[in-house]
This record gives sequence, structure tokens and C-alpha cells, in this order.
Amino acid sequence: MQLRVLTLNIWGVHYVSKLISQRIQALIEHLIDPDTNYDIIGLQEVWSKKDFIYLRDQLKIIYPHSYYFLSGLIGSGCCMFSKYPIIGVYEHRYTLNGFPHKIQHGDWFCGKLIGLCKILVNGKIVNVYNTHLHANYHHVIPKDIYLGHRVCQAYELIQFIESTSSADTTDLTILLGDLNLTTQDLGFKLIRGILQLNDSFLHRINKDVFDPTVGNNGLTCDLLDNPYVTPHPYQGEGERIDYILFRSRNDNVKCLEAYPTLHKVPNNPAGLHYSDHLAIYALFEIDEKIPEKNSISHKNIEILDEETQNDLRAACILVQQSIQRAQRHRLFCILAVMILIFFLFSFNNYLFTILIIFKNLFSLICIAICIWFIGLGKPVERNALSSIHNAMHLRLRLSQFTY
Amino acid sequence: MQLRILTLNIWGVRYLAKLIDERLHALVTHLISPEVNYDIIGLQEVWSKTDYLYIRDHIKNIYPHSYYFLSGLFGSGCCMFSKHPIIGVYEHLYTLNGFPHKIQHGDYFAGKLIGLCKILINNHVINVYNTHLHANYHHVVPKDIYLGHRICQAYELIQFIESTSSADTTHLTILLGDLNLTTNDLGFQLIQGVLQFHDCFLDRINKDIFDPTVGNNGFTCDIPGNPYVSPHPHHGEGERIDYILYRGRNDNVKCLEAYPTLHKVPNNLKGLHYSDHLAIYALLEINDEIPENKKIKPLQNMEITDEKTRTLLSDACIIVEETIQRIQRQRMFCTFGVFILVFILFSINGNPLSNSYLYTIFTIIKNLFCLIGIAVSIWFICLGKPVERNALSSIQNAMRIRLQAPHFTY
Repeated sequence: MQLRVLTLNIWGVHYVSKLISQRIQALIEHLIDPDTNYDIIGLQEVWSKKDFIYLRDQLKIIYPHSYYFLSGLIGSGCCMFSKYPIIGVYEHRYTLNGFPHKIQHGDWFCGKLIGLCKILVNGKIVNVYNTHLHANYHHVIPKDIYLGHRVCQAYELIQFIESTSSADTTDLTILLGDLNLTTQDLGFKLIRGILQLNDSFLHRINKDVFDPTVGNNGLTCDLLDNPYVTPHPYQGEGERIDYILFRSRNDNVKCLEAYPTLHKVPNNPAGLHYSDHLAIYALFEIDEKIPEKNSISHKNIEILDEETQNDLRAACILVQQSIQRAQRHRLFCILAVMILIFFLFSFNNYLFTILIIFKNLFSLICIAICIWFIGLGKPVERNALSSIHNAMHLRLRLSQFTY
Repeated sequence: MQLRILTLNIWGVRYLAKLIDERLHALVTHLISPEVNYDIIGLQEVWSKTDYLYIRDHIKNIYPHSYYFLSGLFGSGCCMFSKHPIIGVYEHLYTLNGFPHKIQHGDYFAGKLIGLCKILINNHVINVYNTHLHANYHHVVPKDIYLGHRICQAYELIQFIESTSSADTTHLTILLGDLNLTTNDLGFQLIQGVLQFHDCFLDRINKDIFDPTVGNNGFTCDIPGNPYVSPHPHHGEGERIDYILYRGRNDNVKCLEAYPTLHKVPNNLKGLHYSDHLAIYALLEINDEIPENKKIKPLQNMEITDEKTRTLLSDACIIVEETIQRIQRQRMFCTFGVFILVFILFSINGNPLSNSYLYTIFTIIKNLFCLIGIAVSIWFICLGKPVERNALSSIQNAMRIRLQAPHFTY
């Protein structure tokens, strides 16, 4: 039995992205084309529910089953389309997802999560996980203020997949989506080391099959010739941050082909591209003749290999640094409150009335925000970081918990 | 093999609850006494981490393994102590947990969750779930503004336990804690209908064994003799809202005894009680001789097979729908409130004829109150209520998938 899987970050940020309606229309035309024959499609950044409903209605003859993971203020952006019935859904919203004052990044309001659709394919249960981790705006570690949050998201992803793909009822586990992690990043190494997922691009059998308009380097984002990408100093030739990872219960699934695709829209004189990311396509072959393995009785939790243990220790240190940084932010906010109160009560006799009103309004808003950070935002963030830190430590069988 | 389990809501609300230090000391004294021989202890409302560390350090000779589920602003209050190794932890924070402006209730800041500790006992993997749902302050349905949130919490509890207790590796699943649901509540019936747990108190074999100081009615909260309970009109003789529920993989687990306990502290002249809740104690027996039932039913569909649970789920969908409708009304109320507050802000701001001290102070206080009110209302309109509505719709969609009813809310 063969299974065709597609994942694409469609960049559907209304008022910011370019040409959303045309690009969605192009995507729909590609998906209802009789030559393409996907079984499961996972999309990210479908922020507008109207866009999702439009996609769903246009595709429902070929993909009658679909689900949107609602979350947060505008999210989650993740949705699934399938030829086969979706018999169950579940999700886990990431506890840490950026900061609310970074409105230009907006991740905090997205309600990012990892969503699970259990899909029944010819009597086999396929757990398809769709996720979109926190974006990387800085690209180099000292400047990347979201690194701690992204590592925690990766760890929560690991916990979620581990706990929900039970060895008895799940025949095939597929994780697809925009991980915003390269294969070198600590979060990705943890995901592969603990969950032991196979990377479809690296493990594909037919390494010579690829999309000729794209090339065979596997990169999915920040491509040099994509018109929607803003060049930045660390771009290089692009990055591979979108994945389809898989693991089968019986070791009876092979990845025949896997490659990035959907770059330029064919026959489009205006030079339209599908998105600022490329899609990843994978073709799996499930060998039903292999007899079912007897499940191993779990007398102990799995021992991690040395490399993964080191990665996990590095992650603990990273999270610890994020906790300390959150404490520093709190002190900074307290200082800011005192300065702002001083500012609020000064110069009230020396300026024009309009200036006074603006100054005081601005001061009051900032004081309110700082008090929210000191009293609620930062403590909650610190508790969430400590919680992940404790869970990581438990896995490493250490017993020093942070309270 | 026998297993002794205890759950207790210890009412550890610093600055509000009475005699926390004495009650904790009494609890620790009870737990380290040699006749008492629990294997697993789950506590709720341990809000202060210092209290948790105190308990942990005093009982660690007997219960060397413990875990605290950190969450939210000062929560989650849930922690576990065990004689046997905890080999894994996981949790799910409830998406909906009250409202931030209800500071007197405080659930919003508590970061309530359902926590899982995988405990390894004699080569058996036991999933112990500890949880504390949103409190019920109103006791009658029309006034209960948290009903929608509590139903969603019950549904998230169901999803979590279902997804994390794998029939292959989990020998025994135990759900303990303060559910704030009576057996008649929709949330509890949903949990039982989908997860099919055994209720320790109802399914116990030795129905005549109970704590003589407490009685045999099974009630765990609002007990008439408890000095820490404030009486209210719907009191009755108490409620049963704390539970130990279980399900064995092989149907090889029986509950021999189960009863509420830990009411009055013995030998205490001041009439100290352990908490405003009673503890529930259960003695389970696991029969290792029953051969392993390897036949796992193939999962063709997620259909609920019995009509009763389908009806319960439909009722739950309706309650969640009503809560969603209420949100739109609340948002309009907040918008209206903003207009009124802005008007008040710019009125009565000073009269050149009567610039007295008191008047200036009044103006400052009025404007501060208006600004705070405006800020909070804008937060509700733009962030708080839409996020809440998305969370409610999400749960409703998940319920509908289970009902195979393909009408989703966006």
C-alpha cells in the first residue's frame, strides 16, 4: 500500500503576505489536478478561518475529511486534509510561545500547538502530527531570544508524540510541518534522538527523484530565487526547516521518494510562487506482508544513547539560562516601573497640554504592561520553563528539581 | 499484589486557609506512622512550593519518589508521592480555567492541569493521574458561570487519559483527585461513559469497612462536622467530589476497600482537622495469575457504542455552545463598558470654583479606576474573550468528531 503525504507552510498572513488569494487558488488547482494524488495534506499558517473554509469547500470532493486546530487569538494555522477518515483528534498547545510585546513577531498570539489527527487507512491507524514551532527571526544564537521557548516546544512535542502514539494501536507515526529547526539545531537532535523518527528526505530510497524546478538540496525556506523572501545576512542558499518524519510500529514502512516541491506556479506569467516556503512531498510504501512484531514488554523506560543524553543536558542548561533571563527581565520591568512613575509625575507644568496627555497615557500603558509582566507574565513563563526543566531532569534520572 | 492509594485536597491556600502549618504537620505525622502503609499519595491544593518541599523532606525516608506539577502563576497545587520509582511524567494544562477578574476565586491563576506519573511497581507500569478541576462556587446550574469551563476540562481530561494510557504498556490506570463533580454531574458521567473507569467507592468489595469517625456515606466535602466549611444553602450532608477511579488492562484488578478518611486529627485537643476535604483511601488488589489478554480490539472507529454516552456528549456540546454565545454578549458588555468609562474619565475632572483637596483625590482615584477598567475591558474584548471562544470551539469540534457529526465551529 502506498501513501502520499504533503506539507506546506502557505504564508497566509493577511495584510502582511502578498497575493494570498492567488496563491491559495493556485494551490487548490494543484491539489484537485488528477495527476497529483495525495492521501494526506498538512498545511501551516492558514491563519484566516475563511481561507480554511474556502480550501475545504474546494477540495472536499477529493479530500472529504479535514480538521482545523483552533487555538489562541488567531491560530493555530495548522489544518489537515485527508482522503481517509479522521477518526480522532487531539492537540497540545505549547506552553511557551514568545512574548506579547513582540507584536511585530506575533507568535505569542498564535496559539501554536502540535495537532494530531488519527487517520484510518485501509484498517491501519496512522497518527499524523502537524506542527509549527516558534519562528527564528535572528538566526544566530546570541541574538535568538526565542531559543529557550523553541527548545521547550521541541520537548513538549516529544512528550506529546511519545504519549499519544501507543505501540499497540498506532501502525504508523508521521510528524510533518514547519519545525523552524535545522538538522543541526538542538531541538531537532532531541526530537530524533528520543523519538527515533526517520527523516523522509534523508532516508528516501530513490535519491534521484526530485522536482527539477527546485533542485535536490532539500532546502525548504529562504531560497534565493523566491520573490517573497527578504534577504538577510545568514541566508546562505536557504534552510531545511520543513520536514516529514516517520516511524512505523513494525518497521514495515519505507520512504520511496521525498523532495521539496511547489515553488513556481506553472503557466503563470506574473511569476507567482505558491508560498515563501516550499512544500515537502513524501511517498511511503507500507509492506503489509511483514508479520506483526511481538511488542516488547517495557520493564524500564528506554535508555537514551550517549549523544542524546548530552543533547538533553545541553537543553537543560539552555532552559536554565532562559529562566535566569526571565528573572532579569522582571528586575528590568521593576526598574522601568519606578522610572515611569517618576516620569508620569514630572514635567506636568512645563509642557503643552496635549504633550502632557500623551506622555501620561504612554506612561500609564507602559506601567500597566510592566506590572503585568512582573505579576503574571514572567512568573508564569518561569513556572513553565521550570516544569519542562524538571521533566527533562526526570528523563535524565537526576533528582534536582527547581521550584 | 496489593496497592494502597490516598488522595487529599489539603486546602493549602496561604493567607486564607486556617492553621496550614499545624494541619501539614498532622498530615506528615500520619504519613510516617508505621501502621499507615500507602504506596501512592496524590495531594491537591499544595499551592506553596515551600509546603511541598516541607512534606517531601519529612516523608522522603518512606516515600523517596515525588513530583510537583508546576504551572500557571502559583500552581498547579497537584503533587505525587510514591514508594516506587516514577519513571515518567507528563501533564496537560487545562485550556479554560475561569476568568482573571474573578480574583476572589483565583482559579484562573492556578494553572490547573491533569498530571500523569508513570510508576513502576514490580514490573507493572501504573499510570496515576492527579487532577483538580475548577471549583463549583454556585452549586446550582443557572448560576454556575464556570459550568462550560468545567465540562471542557472534563473533556480534556478524557482526551488526555485516553491518549496517554496505552493498552500495551499500561497495566493499571488510576485517576485520583478533586474533580469538583458529583456523580450526577454531566462531566462525571462523560468521564465514566467514555473511559469506563471503576469507581473505588462504589465497586469496593468489603462495603462494611470504613473509617468509624467519618461514616459510610462516601462524602468528601462540605461535611457538617468540619470547622473549616462555610455553610451554604445547598449544603445537605456533604458531597462526594473526590475520587479514586481505576481500570486494569487485564480486568485483573479489584478494589477491596475504599472509604473517606482523615477527618479529625487524633489526640488533638484543639479540634484540629486535616483539611476542609476528606481524604479517600483505596486498597486495590492486582491478580497476577490471570493470563495477559493480548487481543486488542481493532480500532475501526471512534464511535461511542452506547446511546447514553452519545446523549451525554450531545448535551455537553449544547452547554459549550451556550457558553460560546455568552461570550459574544460579554464582549458587547465590555465594549459598552469602555464607552461609559471613557465618558466618566473625561467628566467631573475639576471645577475651578471648588479646587479642594478631597476633590483632587477623588478625581485621581476616579481616573485611575477608569483607566484600569478600560485596560481590562480592552484586554477582554481583544484577547481574553476571543482566546476563550477559540478554546471552547476547539473542544466542541473535538466532541463532534467523536459523535461523527461533521459540523465544526470556526
